[in-house]
Amino acid sequence: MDAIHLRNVDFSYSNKAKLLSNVSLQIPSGHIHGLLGKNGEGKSTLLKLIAGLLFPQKGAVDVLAFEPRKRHPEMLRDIYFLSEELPVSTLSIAGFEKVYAPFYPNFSAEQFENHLKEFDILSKNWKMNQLSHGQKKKVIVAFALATRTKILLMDEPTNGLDIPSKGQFRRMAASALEEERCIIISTHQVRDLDSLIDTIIIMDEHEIVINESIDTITDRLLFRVKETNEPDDTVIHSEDTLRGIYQVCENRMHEDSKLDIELLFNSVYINKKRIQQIFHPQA
Amino acid sequence: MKTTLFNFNRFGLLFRRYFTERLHTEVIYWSIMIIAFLFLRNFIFGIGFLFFVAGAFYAARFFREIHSSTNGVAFFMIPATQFEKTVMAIIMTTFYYFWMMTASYTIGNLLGTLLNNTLASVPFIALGYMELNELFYRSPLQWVLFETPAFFYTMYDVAQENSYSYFGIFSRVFLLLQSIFLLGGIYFKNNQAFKTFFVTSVIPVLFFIVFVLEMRLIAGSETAIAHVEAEDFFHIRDIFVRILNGALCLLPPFFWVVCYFRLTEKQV
Repeated sequence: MDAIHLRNVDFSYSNKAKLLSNVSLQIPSGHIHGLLGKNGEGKSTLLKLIAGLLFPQKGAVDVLAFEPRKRHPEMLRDIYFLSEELPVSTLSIAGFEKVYAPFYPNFSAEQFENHLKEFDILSKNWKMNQLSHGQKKKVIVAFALATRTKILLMDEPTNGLDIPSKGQFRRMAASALEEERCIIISTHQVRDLDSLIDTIIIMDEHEIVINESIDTITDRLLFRVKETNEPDDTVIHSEDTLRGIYQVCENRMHEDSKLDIELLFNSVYINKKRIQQIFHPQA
Repeated sequence: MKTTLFNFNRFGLLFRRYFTERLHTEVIYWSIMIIAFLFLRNFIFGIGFLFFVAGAFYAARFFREIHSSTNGVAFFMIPATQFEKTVMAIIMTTFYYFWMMTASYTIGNLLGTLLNNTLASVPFIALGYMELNELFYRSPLQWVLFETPAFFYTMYDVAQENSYSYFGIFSRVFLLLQSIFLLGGIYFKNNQAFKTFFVTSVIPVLFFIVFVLEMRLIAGSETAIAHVEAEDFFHIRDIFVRILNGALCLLPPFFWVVCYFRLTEKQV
């Protein structure tokens, strides 16, 4: 079942060029979706449209069979939006939980406690405004995961997290996935989502270029490392590195390979048309 | 948790959120008010001014978080209807504010009178501070805020046939101002109180225009206005006061409805 459905959505901030143009997107539950794109491509805007914080100028958005712009409480209690910038709060962690948790009927205090422990947040009496940005992010991420909402939107959740915490975040997010839950993680730090996401949405020039599962991507694209750069018409994009030449190729023989998100991301920007032809040959 | 337009559980949670988040600010705010009333206790114009000005700021700043991209997101993502959020804002900026301001006045007045009379009983002359003796006089406890001030009788000809109630007019003006400033707080991104005040200053001009138009309708022409008899003038004034009363009754609910729709349409 699609948790989120966008149909021909246009959006622009006043007096500016279109940020999203004729965007159509179906996002099913039961997956962790990585929303990738350069800065200013409209990733956060897309998340805000889904959350009902912004309204489309054209087209329709359906979220859990609700129209997000109406901000129906039944929809809001099943969505948690973790914004890139964190809200200012003078509350303690325990106070924050006491105030906001009752709004979410499926909130698990036990999960929240466990996530905090995993993130080395040792006391719930710590004041939110006295925490570092990274610690505050950990608290909000832990809270977001513990709400157990059907839709979890995370905008750059790994920004401000140290390297061990990024790994902890990946583990926790993976464990938080349930069949009825849809997690969307927006980032431009593609390496942070390695081994976490199972569906990739890539935005470029204000449109969706790819919205495919990793299985489909690796079925149609081959990621390989070569020692020499021999002419090959299947090669879409290649990058010279100290370890060899990393290539993204058309997977005509349906060979198995491991997805390299960064390589895929770069190949979309360099050879968008070819990638689109591979995934949408009829378009 | 039921999901109708209004749910008492969610409504209660909104209040709990407000008081937990802003407890510190509230304590400071009302402490300042008590201190101000300590000094203003028998000065009705000062009390009235503080009542309205502090109220305007309180209402105008109530929704300040919705203009911040971070706290605005948090506010709109709270699973409660915009109706519940608006009703909560109305209660806080009118009834709660009124109650708290009255309580602050009561405490400030009691403490102020007590302090004043204690100081007045100290023989400063004997202590060598002669000039201080002239500063403090014993004064009885008065409750000027709860009494109808003398100027009101002058203004309305000893409450003409007793049809004008001081408290009634005071409450209606207060409700109107609070509703206007609440709307201003949603409408303007920053300096909400000042911008709303600037826009609101147009309202007396509009009332004046209505008054002049009435005069013209009755007197016939602009030149004839100067020759309007005193009796006719009182008649016109009565009609104008009725219109004013009607406006004072209808405008606050109107502004609250606009607040609701403005909040519903607000994007962050």
